[in-house]
Amino acid sequence: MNTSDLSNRWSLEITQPWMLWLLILLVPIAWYYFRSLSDFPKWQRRFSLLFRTLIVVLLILAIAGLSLLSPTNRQFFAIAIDRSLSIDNKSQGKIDEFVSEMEKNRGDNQIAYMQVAMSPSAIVSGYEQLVAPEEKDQRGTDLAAAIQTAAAAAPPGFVPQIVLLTDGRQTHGDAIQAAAASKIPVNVIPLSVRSEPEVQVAEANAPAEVRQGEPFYVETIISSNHEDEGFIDVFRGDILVSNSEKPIKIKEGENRFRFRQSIEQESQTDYVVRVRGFKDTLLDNNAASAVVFAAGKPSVLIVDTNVQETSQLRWALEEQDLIVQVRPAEGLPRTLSELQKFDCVVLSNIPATTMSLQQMEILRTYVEDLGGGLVMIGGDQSFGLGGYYKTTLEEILPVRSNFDKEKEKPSLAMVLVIDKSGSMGGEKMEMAKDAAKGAAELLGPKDQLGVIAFDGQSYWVSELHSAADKGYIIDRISTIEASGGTSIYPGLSDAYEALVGATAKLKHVILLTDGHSEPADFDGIAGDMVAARITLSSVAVGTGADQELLQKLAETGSGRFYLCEDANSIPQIFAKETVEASKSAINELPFIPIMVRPTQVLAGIDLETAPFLLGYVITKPKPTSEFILASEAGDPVLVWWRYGLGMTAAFTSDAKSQWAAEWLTWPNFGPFWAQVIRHCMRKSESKGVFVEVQRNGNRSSVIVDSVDPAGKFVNQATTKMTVIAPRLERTNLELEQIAPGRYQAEIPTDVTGSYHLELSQSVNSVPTFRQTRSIVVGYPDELRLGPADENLMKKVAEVSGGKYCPTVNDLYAHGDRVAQNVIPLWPYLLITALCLFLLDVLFRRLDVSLWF
Amino acid sequence: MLEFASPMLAWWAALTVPIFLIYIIKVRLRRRPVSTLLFWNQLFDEKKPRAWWQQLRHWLSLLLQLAFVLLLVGALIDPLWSWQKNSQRRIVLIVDNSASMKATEAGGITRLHSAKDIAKGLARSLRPGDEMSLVSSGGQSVVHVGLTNHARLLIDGITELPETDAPSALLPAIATAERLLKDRVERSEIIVLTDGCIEDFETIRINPLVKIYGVGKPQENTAITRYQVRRSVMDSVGYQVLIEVTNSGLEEVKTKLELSLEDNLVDVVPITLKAGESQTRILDHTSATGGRLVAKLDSKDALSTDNSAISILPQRAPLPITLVTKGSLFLKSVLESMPLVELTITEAAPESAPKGGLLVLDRIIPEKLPRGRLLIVDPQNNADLMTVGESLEQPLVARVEKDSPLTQHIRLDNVLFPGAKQLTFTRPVESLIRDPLDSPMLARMKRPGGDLWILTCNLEQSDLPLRIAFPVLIKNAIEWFQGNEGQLRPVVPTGTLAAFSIPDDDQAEVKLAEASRDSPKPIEGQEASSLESVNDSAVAVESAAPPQLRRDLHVSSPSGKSLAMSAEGDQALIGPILECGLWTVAPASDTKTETKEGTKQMVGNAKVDYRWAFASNLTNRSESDLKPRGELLTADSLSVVSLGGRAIWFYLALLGLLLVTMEWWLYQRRVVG
Repeated sequence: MNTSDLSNRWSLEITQPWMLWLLILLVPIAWYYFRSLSDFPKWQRRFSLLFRTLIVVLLILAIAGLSLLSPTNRQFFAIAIDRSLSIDNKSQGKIDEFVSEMEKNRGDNQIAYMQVAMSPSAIVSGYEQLVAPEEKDQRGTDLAAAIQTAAAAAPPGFVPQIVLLTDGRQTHGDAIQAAAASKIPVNVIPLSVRSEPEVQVAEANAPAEVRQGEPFYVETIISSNHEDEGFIDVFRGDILVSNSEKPIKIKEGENRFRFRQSIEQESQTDYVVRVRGFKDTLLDNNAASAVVFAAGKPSVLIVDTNVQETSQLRWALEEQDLIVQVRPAEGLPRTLSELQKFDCVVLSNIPATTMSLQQMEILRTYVEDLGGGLVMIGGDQSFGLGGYYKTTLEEILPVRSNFDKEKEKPSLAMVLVIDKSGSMGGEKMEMAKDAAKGAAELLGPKDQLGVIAFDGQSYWVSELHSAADKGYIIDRISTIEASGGTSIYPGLSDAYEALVGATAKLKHVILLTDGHSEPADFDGIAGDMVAARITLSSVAVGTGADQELLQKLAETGSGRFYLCEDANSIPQIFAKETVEASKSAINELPFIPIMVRPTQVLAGIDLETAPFLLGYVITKPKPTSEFILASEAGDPVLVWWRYGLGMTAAFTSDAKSQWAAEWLTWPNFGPFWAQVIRHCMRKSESKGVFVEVQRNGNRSSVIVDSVDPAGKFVNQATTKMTVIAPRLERTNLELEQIAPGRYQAEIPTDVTGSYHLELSQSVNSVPTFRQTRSIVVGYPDELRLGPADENLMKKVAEVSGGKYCPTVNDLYAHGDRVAQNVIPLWPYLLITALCLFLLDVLFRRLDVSLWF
Repeated sequence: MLEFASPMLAWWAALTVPIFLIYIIKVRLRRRPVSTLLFWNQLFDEKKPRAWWQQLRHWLSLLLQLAFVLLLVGALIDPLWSWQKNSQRRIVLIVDNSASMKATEAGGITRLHSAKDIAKGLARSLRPGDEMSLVSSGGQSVVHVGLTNHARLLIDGITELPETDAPSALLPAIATAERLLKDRVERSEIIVLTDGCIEDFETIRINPLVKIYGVGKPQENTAITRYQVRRSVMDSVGYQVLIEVTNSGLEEVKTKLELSLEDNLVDVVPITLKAGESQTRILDHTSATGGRLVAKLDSKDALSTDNSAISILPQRAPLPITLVTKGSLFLKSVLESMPLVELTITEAAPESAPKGGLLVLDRIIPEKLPRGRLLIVDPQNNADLMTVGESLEQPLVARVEKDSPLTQHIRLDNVLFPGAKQLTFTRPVESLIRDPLDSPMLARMKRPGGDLWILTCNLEQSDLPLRIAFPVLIKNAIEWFQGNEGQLRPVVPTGTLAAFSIPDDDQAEVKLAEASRDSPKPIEGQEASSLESVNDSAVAVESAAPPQLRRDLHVSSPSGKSLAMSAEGDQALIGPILECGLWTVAPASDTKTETKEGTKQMVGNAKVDYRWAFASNLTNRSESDLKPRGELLTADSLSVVSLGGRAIWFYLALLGLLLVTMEWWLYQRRVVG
């Protein structure tokens, strides 16, 4: 760096040598000396010339920046204090003592302080000026950056030294290299690591890829700073697979454990190893994960409200070499990692109201970005009847849930009774308004819709009005604002009165509230409604609503009760209710599906011999979808399309005894469904391709090795990757070929969670390979338990010429190193010039010959 | 507001008093004998003695002298306008010393040289109170000089700034600069001197702290932008080379690409590249020995660093095979025909397979199977891991495992394996070829200490040896055991860290077998130390983790610079690598590699064990494109930054200098007294 190897001799320096051109002024001075009209004696004139010349030279030297470089052994100490989480709190005493000693012996030396954790702080001149970093900034140690910053802060004129107070456990950068590059002695004072009892899962390792059924080991390393007993739990997904009933003893240091596993049914499985029951301080480091990709049969998840009814479909698919898992609606995966275990998801008669918006978003990412397949099978709880209108899933599916209501369908008069009390303010009210607008959009021109808002009283937002004039109704709904108390009865009463006089064949009321109503004769009004063939459904928003009353009203009113904990799902409930109440979305006339568009996907399946289907849900195909099978009325029965990297299909009839009772015995039932699902599912072709993911700090590199069936490297192929980060951000990138048959890309993996990768390769636009992979990023390295890294600390001191564990006296001891102190000489030069000028004047005024 | 740095020095203004006194002192007349006073009296009459104030007849002279004294005293007290004090700047000067800055401009000077000249000018123009730091960005961010106002220190630092072969790391350098300016951002700036050949130009440009000044003019350049050699999977002596050549200039280029292995010309490829075009070539060649494979472009352009690239072709180790037979012509012939096979034929089975090789047992097998990797052909008697039963009823090949590398490229449907026997094994096996009753005819068994490959077929009676499938079957087995997974020694791009795997001669054979991807094989010795049998899902204690071995290493760069470092475990992280060429690594105090003859080859006059070396190339399209990615401020405008703004004392001293010179002239010409 700047001062370490300078000479220890005195020397002069001119900082602005170009100013020396001013010396030209000596020429006129000499000239006018010779052309002088002065009558002084010659020797006196010569003295005068000498003085004047000296004055001019001195002034020019001052202007040119003449400086004196003097050797100095005054020292500058940059003290960097490690404030990362791994440092023991008890170290503070040692730090304070050291700083106090340094200050006491400071003398004319200079000291500056800085802190280091994830990044170094600004350097300050007083220890008390240091501000403790926030906990989130303490989750890392970058000693290299600290050394670099401290080295750069050394002022000239001092012999610099860096003092690093640390445990040596760096998480970023290379401190040894930084110390070597700094050319300043880095003295290291070791601090102790946390001494509180700590147990952590240091690693969970599993092979990246196995074959289905092949046994493999999941290995884990448990680190502890004390001997202890406790439990090690191993989870496969959400299921606990370890069976350690007795506590396991661990020793101080690293303890290796392994357990044998095999994957039978899933494409991808994540393992989480957790510790419990040990004496422990930090909880964040008690788990580590590993993901195993299993090559083999494709895996399908069927989600059905009634698991039993799906048995035939399950058996049929299993016969066709597919691995099938059936779950109830509640079992629909909530995380992308869980969903990634499957190549295709089948939603069989699942209403939208059973899934959260987050689940729908995850399904979209699964299909669009990770190439998963999604099939929705019909039923009285699917498509429009399931409340999918305007949902994320409707966007993914190749059909729309709304449709042009047929003229012969019975007309519906519906009144929405919406709570507008103060507690409904904000998001709830907005969602209720959106829901009401959605209901208006779903109704046909013969239908009528009225909207009542109530607080303490009841108001007609929009009187019972033809749904043909949707614009008017929607405008009126927009005017609702939340305020006041809650009184349900007047609203229901107004709705009853309006519907009693209506001419529609079907009459329905939807009541939505989030509170407790003032008491009234609810049984009476519900009874009156039933008598007038008006059905009543109720929606309780949040757990604060009077669920008992609302449930009773729905039961009495022959409707349905919904408990809606998340206001975001109100629109789905209204859509479901509207479609269901209008009884127009189902066609239950037996039909034989007609192939509208021949496809290779259904090759070998003779649909002409197919038995009758007994009903289907009416939907509308989207313009770019592939309309494969139609009902006799021309409505879609089987439609699919590509959505992003994945494929979705809609089968509007069902695959169980309700509408497909006769299909269940049809020999082509199994092949039909297997072929449809295989067409939609993620295509995982990985023969000859090896994918390796390497994590290096905050980045990961993905390497794809590709060899064709003949054993030749696959060159100049287009290899793409979609990365879904833990917060579902998507990045698309292309892997670059770095060697024959090898492709590589690097991605940042700096957020804790799962990163999902969808890799695909194509040669001359022909897809040759497709695979998914995951990277699990665990807790930050700072929380990784371990002893202080004495080796690193000693090496840092050694390569930089510093000392390991020095005393304060060692630090202040003057060595051979000197710095050069730059002393600007211009003030001295000016003073000398002034003195000479006085003499000059004196010589000119006095005739000194009188005295000599 | 005006402030003074040294107000005490104002006392020097007292010098005006003696000057004033000198002026009013009556000069005593000199006594001199004269012949007559006639004329003198006349003169005295005309000019009466004057009063003391009349001595001020040369008032202009006095005024000038007083002014001079006051100017210098004014300078001494060092006045500073408060605005001037507040305008003291802190500059971090980042000089891009990346590979593209080595490009030569008209006149034969490099861009880095021009940048250094500009940087020195900037350092010289520092104003009092200004501070500047010097950071370089070639491959990595390095602070060469911390914040200082000492121009010479900065100029020395700029002079010593080295050239690198690495791409620009401007973003990290700017991050470093921002850290240096962290405590006071106002009146701070980051000045970047670069040729603009940087990937993140736009990100850097929008940073309000950063000003990017350009050096150099756009230049034509053709470069090797990708280069890697890799051993073939199919052919044990074959290798494939990936080369990409890019013309980043604006004119078509015709050139030749020369490929040489250990200085022996291997290939010459003529290449014509349109402006901005990249061409990728895949070249197939063979060599068992391996070594240094250099690609060179026959091109003379502005940047020579990217006209050549180097890669290491791994040497194929010979494979010792011991054939235990009483005379199998077919086996002997097929094994002899395999490249790299060192065949030994014996009649008595040894206790173990040759180190790093295979043992082929023909018909007669010992009761206790030898250790190591075994190929067993037509076993006739029982052994500890298998029982040989009756002849198969229908020795017809019914099913061949398609996905196994051991049976790839083999067609044996409905081929008879006469003499094939019913084999039963004590350990699980993978059946690769089966008869109609699913009995194994070719099987693979995993076992601690080395896998087994077992074929039941009488070669003398069968027509299998006459089929093309037979040598393929044996070749597959040998390559599978050998681990021909397509070895490659990754070339390290400059500017990155090299993850160097430290070779371990004792474990070399183990590593060979380690890497097969299609069918993972256990590492020799690993199973031996493994645990008691573990139930599924039972957590089993394995062992305490062994401590990582720390080794001291000596790394030499292509230009001969050496670096001492230590590595933990079997991998060393070296770098960032800033030089292109062949880097060598050696244990700091180990001579073992020097005694290993046969593994070394000559590089220049020195023998190099390529297992202890790695290659590094620039291979960076962005760095080889010698055109700036955006608009750069001209370096001329940089000088404006430093104009004016000097301390007031400087101007006062300058004024004093002019005054004292002028006063001299006036005095000598008797204009003043």
